[in-house]
Amino acid sequence: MAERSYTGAELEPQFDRSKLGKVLAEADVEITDEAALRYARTVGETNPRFSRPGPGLEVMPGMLIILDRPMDRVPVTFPFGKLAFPGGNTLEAYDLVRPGDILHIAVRLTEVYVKTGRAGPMGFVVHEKEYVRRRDGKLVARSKDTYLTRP
Amino acid sequence: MAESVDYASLDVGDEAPETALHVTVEAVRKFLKVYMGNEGQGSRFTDPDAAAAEGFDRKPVIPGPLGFVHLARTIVDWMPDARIEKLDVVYRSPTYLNTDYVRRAVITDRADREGEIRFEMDVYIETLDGNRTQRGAAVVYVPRG
Repeated sequence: MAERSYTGAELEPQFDRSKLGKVLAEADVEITDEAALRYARTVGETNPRFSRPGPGLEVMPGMLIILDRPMDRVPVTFPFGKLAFPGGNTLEAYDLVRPGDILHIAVRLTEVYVKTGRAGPMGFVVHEKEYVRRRDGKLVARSKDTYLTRP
Repeated sequence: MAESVDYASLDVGDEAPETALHVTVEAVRKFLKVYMGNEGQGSRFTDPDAAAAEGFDRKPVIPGPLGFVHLARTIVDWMPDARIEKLDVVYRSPTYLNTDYVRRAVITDRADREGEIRFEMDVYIETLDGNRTQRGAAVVYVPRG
């Protein structure tokens, strides 16, 4: 079967470009002992660093990427798009996060682009979050989520 | 989880002990309750028909971030003292519920520093026939000695 070709207009993402790079939403999230322990239990973690209540308790690295506040996302439409699904997550952690920390989280739309390969076009939408600890103003983590769209 | 690890003896090419991964719908529901505030009723994560409607062959799929969590756990199961500085995960193809997978990790770089060792490693979720459905690259630090 011949592969379908796409014209320039069909490859052009549709979204509000004024939002690119701007903070879409921000919020403070307090990391409680209960939330950290519940998260560890939910994913079956038994390492005492993450599962033993007390002053040494740490937040599991993966927990930050699901602190989904703020949830705001810029809607992006790709004219060729039929299937959309998560393409990946990245977390960079610069300091330990512990219960009691209040994190200021800000989300931005950072990239929207199309790559075309043998399988046709693929649309990428990237949002990034920064996590700043209120107590000392330190950037403790940065995360990125990539969403893909395919014909 | 490893009881104690001689980190200084680990080097490029060393692999974590292979561990099994089999995610049930109950585990996904619990995760979604924490992640989304609901249990994913009628979604591609729990419902075969919803999965089929989204092109997943009537097999519910594991939420990508849950795979991320399992890859992070692969690291700290192997190196219980590890501080993960970076984990970059690509969801290459669907990872399905009620299916047997294995989790793997392999060291790709090592640098010795004052008081700690920096490892780079690749981590994977693989089908039993070696198809890597999720792939990650990590930078971790462990105490030296």
